[in-house]
Amino acid sequence: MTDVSFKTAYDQPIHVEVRMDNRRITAASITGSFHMSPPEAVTEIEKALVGASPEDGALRIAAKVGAAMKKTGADCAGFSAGDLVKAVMKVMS
Amino acid sequence: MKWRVIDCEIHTAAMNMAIDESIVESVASDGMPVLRFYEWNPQAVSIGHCQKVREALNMRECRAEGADVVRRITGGGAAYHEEGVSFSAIAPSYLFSAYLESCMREASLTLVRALATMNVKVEFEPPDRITEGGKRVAWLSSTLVKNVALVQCFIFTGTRKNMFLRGAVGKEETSFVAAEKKNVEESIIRAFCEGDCKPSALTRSEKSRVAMLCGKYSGDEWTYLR
Repeated sequence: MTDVSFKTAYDQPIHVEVRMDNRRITAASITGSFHMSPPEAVTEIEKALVGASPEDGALRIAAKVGAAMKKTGADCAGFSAGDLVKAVMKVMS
Repeated sequence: MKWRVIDCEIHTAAMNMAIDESIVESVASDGMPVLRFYEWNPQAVSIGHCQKVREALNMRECRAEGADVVRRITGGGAAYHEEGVSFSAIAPSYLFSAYLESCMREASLTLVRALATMNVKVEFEPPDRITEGGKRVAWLSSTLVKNVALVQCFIFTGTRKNMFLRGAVGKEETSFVAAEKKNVEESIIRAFCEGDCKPSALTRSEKSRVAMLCGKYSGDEWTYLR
């Protein structure tokens, strides 16, 4: 697993960990003491990231994260989908 | 909007979380908000929904101390629960906000107003800190599920007795609200329900769901979800 961390606007840590195989994510984990609802939103985002590769580019990753957030009606405090996408791009690189 | 108020009950950590989730389901169904007070027996540590257990606390040592450990469905960090006032406000989201951050702000400011009526001056530091003199005196976390806001809050009303658990969930300095628990509860009822409330208890269907959900919250699959 490789990981990258960032902090929300409220200084709460978010860790993004991924397992890669042949430059594709086979497992993703997003953890930390941040606030996001509903509870299942994070799991949906993690699932959506499986299969993603650096070659997808930020726009495709953003679409995957955005779709998962829309599906669950996700809402977060002090960070955005864009922050997550940046972290995912960074951890895959 | 008339609130159901459930008087203080003492439960295990798993039971407390199961009760909250069962009430979320009933509020989603009937729209009647609920304010419930509770205590934790044994003492407990609750961790945020997305926290990794091994990073949030030392599970083996918590168990050795006889503390329950439970994962919440609300976010935020680890909190330890011993002497204090715990309450959950569970309401249609429009009573707070349809947005998580605003929901936490509304609930926190309501709590600040409640304590102010007792001349306890605390401040809200977004997103989840209630402080007095810069030290945390309460934990507040929230989630929005099925257009229902679940706000879980724990207010210290006494000095921390268990130094191990205090250290187990972080080095943040804490203080406590110098007020009688009963008075704190009454001020919270007045602030959240605005005088429109009735005493209540868990309904038969809520009790039935609690029995099913308790297994989830006490099980390793949920606790070690992350």
